[in-house]
Order: sequence, then C-alpha cells, then structure tokens
Amino acid sequence: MLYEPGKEYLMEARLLPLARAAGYADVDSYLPRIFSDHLERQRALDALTINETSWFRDNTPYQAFTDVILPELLKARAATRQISIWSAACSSGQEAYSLAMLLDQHLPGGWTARITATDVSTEMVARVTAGRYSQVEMNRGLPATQLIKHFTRVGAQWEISPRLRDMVQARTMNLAAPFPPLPRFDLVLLRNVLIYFDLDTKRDILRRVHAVTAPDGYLMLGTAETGLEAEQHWGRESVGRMQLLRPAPSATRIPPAVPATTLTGA
Amino acid sequence: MSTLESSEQLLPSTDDLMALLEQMWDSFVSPMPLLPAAPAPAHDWSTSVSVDGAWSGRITLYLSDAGAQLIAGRMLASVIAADPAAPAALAEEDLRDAIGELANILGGNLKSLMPEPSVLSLPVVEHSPAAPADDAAPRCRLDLAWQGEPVTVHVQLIASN
Amino acid sequence: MRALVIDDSRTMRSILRRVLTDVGFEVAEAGDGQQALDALADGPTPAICLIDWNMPVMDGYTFVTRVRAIPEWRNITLMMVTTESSHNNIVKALAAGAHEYVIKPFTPEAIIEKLELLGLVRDGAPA
Repeated sequence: MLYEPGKEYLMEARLLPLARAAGYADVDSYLPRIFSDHLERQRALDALTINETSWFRDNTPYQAFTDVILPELLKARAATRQISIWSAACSSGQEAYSLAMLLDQHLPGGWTARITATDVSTEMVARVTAGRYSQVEMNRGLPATQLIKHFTRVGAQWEISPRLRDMVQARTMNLAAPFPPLPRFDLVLLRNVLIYFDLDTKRDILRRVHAVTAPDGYLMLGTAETGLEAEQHWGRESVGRMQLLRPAPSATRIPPAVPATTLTGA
Repeated sequence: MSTLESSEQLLPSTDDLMALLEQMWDSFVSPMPLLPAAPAPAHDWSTSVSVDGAWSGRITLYLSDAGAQLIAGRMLASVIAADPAAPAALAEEDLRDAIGELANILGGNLKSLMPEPSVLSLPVVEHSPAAPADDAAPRCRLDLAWQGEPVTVHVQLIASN
Repeated sequence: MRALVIDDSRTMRSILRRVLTDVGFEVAEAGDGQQALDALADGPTPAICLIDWNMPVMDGYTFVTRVRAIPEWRNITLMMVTTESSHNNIVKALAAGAHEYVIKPFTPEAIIEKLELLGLVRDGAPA
C-alpha cells in the first residue's frame, strides 16, 4: 500500500468519492473525519488498498498449501475428514475463495472443508458473503480455467458458484479485541495484517491465534513478514521458499484473555 | 428488418454502465474520477460503436476538444507512470485512434453483458458531430465531467437487421 | 524474450507494448490475425502472443485456431486480451487453445500477474 512520492494524486483520487459520499466538498475537509471516525477510516483504507488484492496472491503460499499442507492434513485428519481454515483480515475474500478453489480441486470425496473469513470491516464481510467481483478484479492473478469453472456473470460482475460460496463463512471480527468463540483451525492465514499493529498487540494476537490453532496446525503470514524472533508460541518450518509457522508445544494451552484496558483499533 | 419493440430489448442499467466506464477510466485514462455533471451544452467529438444481433444498440461517447486531447494524451503516454501535467497537443490520427478505442472497450464490454450472439462494429469517430438525439427513444444516458471537461455517454437501442 | 501484440488499435498496442517492455520483452506488433500469421511465418517465433478478438480481416479467435493447428507453433503461449467477456466466449477461446484470458480494461499489474502465472516472468523479468 506504499504510495511513491509524486503519486499523492492517486490517494486524492481514491478518497474524493468517499469525501463526497460523506458530504465533504474535497479531501482536505474530509481528512479529520478519517482520523476521528473508525468507519470512515476503514472505508478510506479499503479505498486506498483497492488495487492490492489478487487471487492466489504471491502464489507461493498456495503452492505450499497444495504441495505440503493439504497432503499433510489429509493424513492427519483421516479420522474426521474435516479441515478447518481461517482467513483472517480477509478483505474482499480473494484469499478465502482461492483456497476454496484449491480445495474443490484437491479435496477427496467424503471430506468437508470450512473456511472462516473474518475482517473488521462489515462492508468487506458483506462483499465476501456476496461473492461478486468486478471485471478488473477478475483479471488479477486468476487462471482463466478457474474463472470459467467457478464463476458466472451477473451484470457487469462475476459471481462465485454456490458450491464454493458455501465453503466460506464470513463474519466481522476485530483481531485486536478478544476473539468470539471460534472453531479449532488446521490452518490460519494472517497475511499482511500484523504490520498494522504495534508490537504488544502483535504478540497478543499471535498468542490468541495459537490458542485456536490445532497443535499440528499451520500459520501463514505475509511473504515478507518477519520479526518474530522473540515469539514464544510459534516455531518456524521452511517449505520451499516459504516459511510456515507451527504451534510451539506448550504445557498449558492459554485460554483467550480478558479484554485489555486499551484496544488499538484495526 | 424488424420493427423496434422496446419491450423486447434491454438497456444496460446506469449502474452497470457507470461501473464499466469507471473501470476503463481507471485502467487507461486516470484515477481522477468521473463526476456527475449538468448536461453539456455542446460536443466537439463523438466516438461510437454499434452492436448488431441478439441485442442491437449504439454506444456513443461525447467529448470536448480539450477533454479529448487530455484523455487521448493520458491513454498514449499512460500505463505505469501517468504524469498529471497536461501533454502537448496530439496528432489528430492518434487522438482519433485513442478515443475510438474508448468506444470499442465500452461497447465491447456492454456487448458481453447483453444477449448474444452479436457483432461489434469498428469505432466511428467524428469531429463536430450532430448533437445527440433528444427524443423519446429508449436510452441509457450518463452526463459526467472529468477534470472539468464534459464526458457524455449514450446507449440507445437500434432496430436489428 | 519476444512478444507479439495483435490488436487493430494503435493505442492498445502501445499500451501493451509499454507493459511488456517494462518487464523486459522485445515487442512486435500486428494489426489483425492475418498480419500476425504472416509475422509468425516470416520472423522469429515469439514466446507469447497477446490477442484481441474483434479485428478486421481475421479475428483473434480464428488466429488462435490457425496457430494451434501448426505443430511448429505449439509452444507459443496464446493469451486473449479482449472485451469479449461472456462466459461462453471465454470457454470458446480456451477450448480453441488459448492458454489465458485478460478482459479489457486491464491494469499493468494484471498483465504481469498473468505472465507470472504462465511462467514467462519471474521477479519482474523474463523467466
């Protein structure tokens, strides 16, 4: 989401429609509202990152999922034949549905997969539930064969098939706040979102994610995310070009915490 | 030649038309937005394509001289590092090709929304065109402005052959 | 690595040329399917063709069917870049042998991501 110097006009262009929708004549008069109003701030963030979401983003994590994680889970979960995945900070849902496409392709008969997709933005959650994407969004990293297999046209948009939409359950959730009741997850994707939090909150999130991850489960962060040297709840495992995090064994599984006195907004 | 019965033919919704226009603008012209505007009093350029078949219609964009120069300049200089400064005046041939492509893209996208099969014509670009018809014929219309210059879009049904 | 851009619009060809040269391709152009076939027959074989659908003389769909019938050209990647975006037409083009499909309008990132998908570009340069 980095805007190079000289491209401030891009930010201006993206914020102007929001400013107008909120009743302001220009971006300058709208800016204070972004800082004071959580919903407007989220809308602004969404608008500024509008070009960032691709299907199968960075590819490597999805390759790791197909080549390593899923085969391992198929062995480890043979008794229940259920796989549970969490796409945290799911945005408009390309990550969740990309996984759904891979599961549709590779999951054997008799198995079920559930993908929980969460985001702090109710608008994003509504988008995931609707499963509709614009043509420009459909161009981003989605193999054409997957497009025709899983999507149909609805007006100027493309809608994901009911079969895949049924795999994904989207709900609003603030990572910085205590988690609501969640299933135990075999795989958690927490990609490119921890960067928005301070160190203490980051650690707290990782601790609470650990509590809802199966002991033999996996955590994926963004491809460029590092800096967890002091992190006690997770150990690293290299898979090809990818670093996966596995829950560090702990004698006691720490239950979700009581809310802290201050919560940083997402 | 069949008589036009408007109940048999659809028009795109203004929402769909606007979405397609915005995506095209964002990708090839500029991230600065198209904003609602009062209907433009005159038009210096028109660029249109027609679609003929299961759905038959004509899609026309009307632009001012200054607007056409700016828009075509952006499309040609464009892509990765759009320079907000206005470009020097373009050769007419280049301008015509660029705004013709706008009609082609918008028309082609609309064709894909409407019932098929159908055939997309080559773009027709006119300087000092006739004013858009202001009759009661069914049409979908957007009156917009970009960087202070008018951008008008008409989609009208035509009798299929 | 060489790319052949096939589109009857000079503007579109220059937009695609820009994206491709930025990731290190040499770019040749053709204004319709027939010119493109001639370019393939006469010149060095490109790694990829980017193909518009609606063109005079010979359209992009026909070009794809012709190329896929020639054994010497079986390794050329064929990517449609077109406004034709009905589900039927995309299926039709892929069935005829197109490897990938980009719907116009597109951003430069979209083209680059498709090239990465196809294994032609890696880390911002020809693979």
